[in-house]
Amino acid sequence: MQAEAIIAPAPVAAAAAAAAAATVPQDSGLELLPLPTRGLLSFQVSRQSAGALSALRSALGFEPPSRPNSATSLHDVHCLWISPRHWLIDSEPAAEERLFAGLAAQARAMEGTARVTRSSDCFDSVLLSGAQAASLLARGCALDLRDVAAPPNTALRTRFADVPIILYKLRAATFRLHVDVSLSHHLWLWLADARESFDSEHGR
Amino acid sequence: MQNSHRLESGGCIDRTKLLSFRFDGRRLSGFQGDTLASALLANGIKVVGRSFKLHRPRGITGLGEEDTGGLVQLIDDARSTPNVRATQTELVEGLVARSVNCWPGPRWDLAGGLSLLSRFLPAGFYYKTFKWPSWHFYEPLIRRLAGLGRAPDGPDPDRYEREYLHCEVLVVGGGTAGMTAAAAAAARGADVILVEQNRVSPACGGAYPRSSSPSLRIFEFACAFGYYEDNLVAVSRRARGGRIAERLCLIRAHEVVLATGAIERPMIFPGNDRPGVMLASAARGYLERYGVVPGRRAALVTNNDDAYDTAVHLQRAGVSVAAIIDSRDTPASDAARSAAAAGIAVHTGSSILGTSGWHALRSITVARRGESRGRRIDCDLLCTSGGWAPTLHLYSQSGGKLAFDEALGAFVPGEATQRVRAVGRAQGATLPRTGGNTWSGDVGAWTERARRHAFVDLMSDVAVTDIAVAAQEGYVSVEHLKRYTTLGMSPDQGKTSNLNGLALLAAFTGRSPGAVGNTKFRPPYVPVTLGAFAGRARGILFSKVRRLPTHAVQDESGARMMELSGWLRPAHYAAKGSLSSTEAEVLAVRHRVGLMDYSPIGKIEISGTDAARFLERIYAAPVASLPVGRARYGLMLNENGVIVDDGIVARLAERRFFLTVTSGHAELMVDWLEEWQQCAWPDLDVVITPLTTHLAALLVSGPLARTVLSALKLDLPLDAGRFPHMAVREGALDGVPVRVLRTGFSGEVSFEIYLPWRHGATLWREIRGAGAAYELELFGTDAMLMLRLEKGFIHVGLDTDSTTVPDDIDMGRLHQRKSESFIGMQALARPHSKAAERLQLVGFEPVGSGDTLAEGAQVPCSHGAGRQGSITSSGVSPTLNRPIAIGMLTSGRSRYGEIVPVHHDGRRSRARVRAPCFVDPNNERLRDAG
Repeated sequence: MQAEAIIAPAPVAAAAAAAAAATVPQDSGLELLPLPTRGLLSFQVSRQSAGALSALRSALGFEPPSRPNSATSLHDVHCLWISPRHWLIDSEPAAEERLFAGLAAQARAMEGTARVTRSSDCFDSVLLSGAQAASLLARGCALDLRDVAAPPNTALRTRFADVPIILYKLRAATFRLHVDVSLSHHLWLWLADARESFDSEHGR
Repeated sequence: MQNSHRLESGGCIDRTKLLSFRFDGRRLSGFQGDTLASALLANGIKVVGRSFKLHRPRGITGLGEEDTGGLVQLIDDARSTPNVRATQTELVEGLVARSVNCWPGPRWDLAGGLSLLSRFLPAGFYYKTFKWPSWHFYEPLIRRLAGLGRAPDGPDPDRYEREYLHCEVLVVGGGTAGMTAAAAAAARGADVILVEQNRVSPACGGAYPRSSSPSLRIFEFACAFGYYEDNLVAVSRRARGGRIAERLCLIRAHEVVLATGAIERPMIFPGNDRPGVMLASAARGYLERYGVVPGRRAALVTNNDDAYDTAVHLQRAGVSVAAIIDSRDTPASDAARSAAAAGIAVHTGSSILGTSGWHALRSITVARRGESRGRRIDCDLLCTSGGWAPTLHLYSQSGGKLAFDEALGAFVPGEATQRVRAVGRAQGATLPRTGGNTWSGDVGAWTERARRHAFVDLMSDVAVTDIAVAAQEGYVSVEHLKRYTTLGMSPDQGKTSNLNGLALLAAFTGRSPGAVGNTKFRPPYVPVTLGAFAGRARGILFSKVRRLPTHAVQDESGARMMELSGWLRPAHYAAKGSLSSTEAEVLAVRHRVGLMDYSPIGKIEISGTDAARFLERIYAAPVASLPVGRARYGLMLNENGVIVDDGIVARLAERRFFLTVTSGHAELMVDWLEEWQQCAWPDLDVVITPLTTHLAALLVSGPLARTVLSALKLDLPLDAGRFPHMAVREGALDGVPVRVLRTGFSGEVSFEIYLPWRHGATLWREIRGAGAAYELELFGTDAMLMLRLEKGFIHVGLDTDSTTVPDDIDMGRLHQRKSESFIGMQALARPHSKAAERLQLVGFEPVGSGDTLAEGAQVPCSHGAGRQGSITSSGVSPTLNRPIAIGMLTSGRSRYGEIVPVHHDGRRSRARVRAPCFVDPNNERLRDAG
């Protein structure tokens, strides 16, 4: 058993990728792309304070989000403010160790009031994009994801298809979904079923 | 003759597209653009079905959702949909429909004689009869007779969809007012959704000017049926081809505009339910929209001017209008002039004494006010108009108040409680005024027979006499009236019956209708298919089930998977030899070693400067005194001192703890901890980190567990001296960080190995490989439940209930050592929590037959009434080779050795009470010398 095996694509994601490639037409206005395991780190603090933002700024090298449920990013490192005292750092796997070291150092400096947790193992990730992406999401998520209510860089914890997810709206019609690894299979079945209905409704 | 009642021209139908359909086996035809109702009327079909209670003939009475008689069963291959309104069913080629609540058919119904017994079946008769010998004696027959339509008995072949939508303005209703409001809002740049339950089309040959604004979305065949908090409106969108039969849209709008129009009230008179009696607006609608004349010779009965226009329109279409019967003495001069110009006789100050016709209407009897004998007028269509009432079901559901408008004789929108407003006819301002009641004269003086044959709610067979009986028996609240008589229930939901019903109640109780008030309307406004509510949650997607990190390798291990606490887990593995699989697995753990994927166990990390203080308040066990590297069993209680969860709390560092909670409560307990921290103790510096699906957990249990693990590249000492029972260590396994807890839920030396989720399957294989030489067995949840039963360890929720406090399971000593306050402490100090006669955890051994005691079996009280305990967990112990059980028993701990009766499902047996631990009561196997 080798530690580097941790960055291998999850089996569900691999299966999902194969299924997606087989069934999604190129012109569907809807692309569903299972992502290889992302580097995910949770940064939590015991109390909301300016110190938390300062720690994040120092560790990441860019400004963390100033509004709850939003995200900022630089060079494929994304900082998502997902609950009052909780940020998710979403990066390429290669950047995870460096980011972990930086955040852990900041947490130590905060004398036990902050905690960094490796969360890469906890999630499978899917990229949903295209003109119909929001429409597909609307079949399983009760939130208002229109640009007026959820502009690009919105990041939040919610439920999709009754599964807890972290939803990150990168651009107007591009969403990244992080789903609990134990439930990703269920979500994939749901998405496959929804897409089948979706395609038939749109005459494909 | 096909389409015998169709005009040569007119209507919004496409006469070039002839559609054939079947009704009760008859082959009929209609045109594209027809509804099933218009096609039936065009073919001269008057009797469509039978009524709910009395099996009286029913025909089409309305044009849309207000119709009370045109319920049919739609049949399409494997589909069979009951109680569909013919008025809302678009005619399609090959449609097959059947009448409901009749046999063999609607014209000749075997149960039709029930109508003759109506005097014995008044409102609430079922509350007063069928007492002897019991209701259940009569129930099967009544169930067969009652009800509308038949539920399909096969799987539903259709697909359904659910959709969440958001907009700034939601307009309900696609008439003039709705379209105008939607276009105006869209022109302002608002994001607008308009829903219309039929087509958005005002009249034949015309169309509303459609806004080209991309911000306006129009959903046709979409009915808003429910209005909830925060401007959430539920809309059912019916199929328009494609694979989705029905779509449930949950629309949340910043503002809602209700352009729901108004519904015409029927007049009340004896025989008003006979097929051929129809709302005047419906008759005119069939004429204008479908080119259908519902009758050849018509009469109209009214209390307002609006019906006069209908009479004139019918006359112009070639229908012979025999008379207008107006309950008022003086109709408006314009109305009278138009009738006179058309040559229509008007009977003012008159009413209908009765109707006649075997199945459908043939004639009416008309009399002037005060006269007891009238004159007969032949007609096969009677249009009835008692004025108009705004359609305010959704407004009422939104929480909006309704105010009674005396001039209108109806309720209009009052104070709103959400951002909603009614416009157009739904507002009431533009509706025609009425000239009095919808019934004639003093209804209190009507004969019993007249009351019994004058129907208020045609769908529920509620007649005037039922309202009178309810009022007489004291049901003077409109809500009580509804429940006692079923007025306004059924698919109708009071659309045409509510106002007449409460006006009658007002008359019978000497009050004004405004003082009586209205019932609060409930969703759904129209029937919605259950499949639409289920949406995609069916079959494999019915509920989400979590998968283990070793899921992919469980198949090759021969696992028999089952769902437990939301996880798909191995219940047991393939049997070997003469033993059952569970027996073999239990014995392997007791005598050698077993391996289990333990990952579903809830895992939470608590860190921060106040972590110990926080947990001291959470657990009914001392935590602050726990040394680093050690673990302790703990109970979590609610404010009532009741056990809500149990598990291990392990101290990883001075300010860092690792908690395990039961797998079914993993998410719940994280939320519970967060709630206490955020709401009760925000001053504590604590970080709560859920780790359940961060970490895989593999459990290696048995006397050889240490030996097997020693073969792995684990950088931790495992001997008992350096890794004792209830200790925790962090290290690495072949470079992967691991956390190891030494526990003993099975009663044997056990190591729980926690490591990153994606490494779970790899470690699983490695442990299997290392254990092969020691005959390691995989074990599932069945074996684990037996192992803990042999030890007498509780399973929270199975062996405890919502009254169990720690002392009931002999765990009172845990909190008695605490000096700090904790959740539930005050409740435990109450005398009731310490009473000697409480239910206490005990063991049971069957006496006599030796049969296994059933889980759920009751221990009855010796005096016969009530129970003194129950069996909560039971089975045949592979270790002891005999049945054992645990359960709760009043004052149980003081009754060891006593023999008690045990009853289950009619079987009676006996059991000896004993201590709950059956194996290794001194825990010597757990604390092995290593």
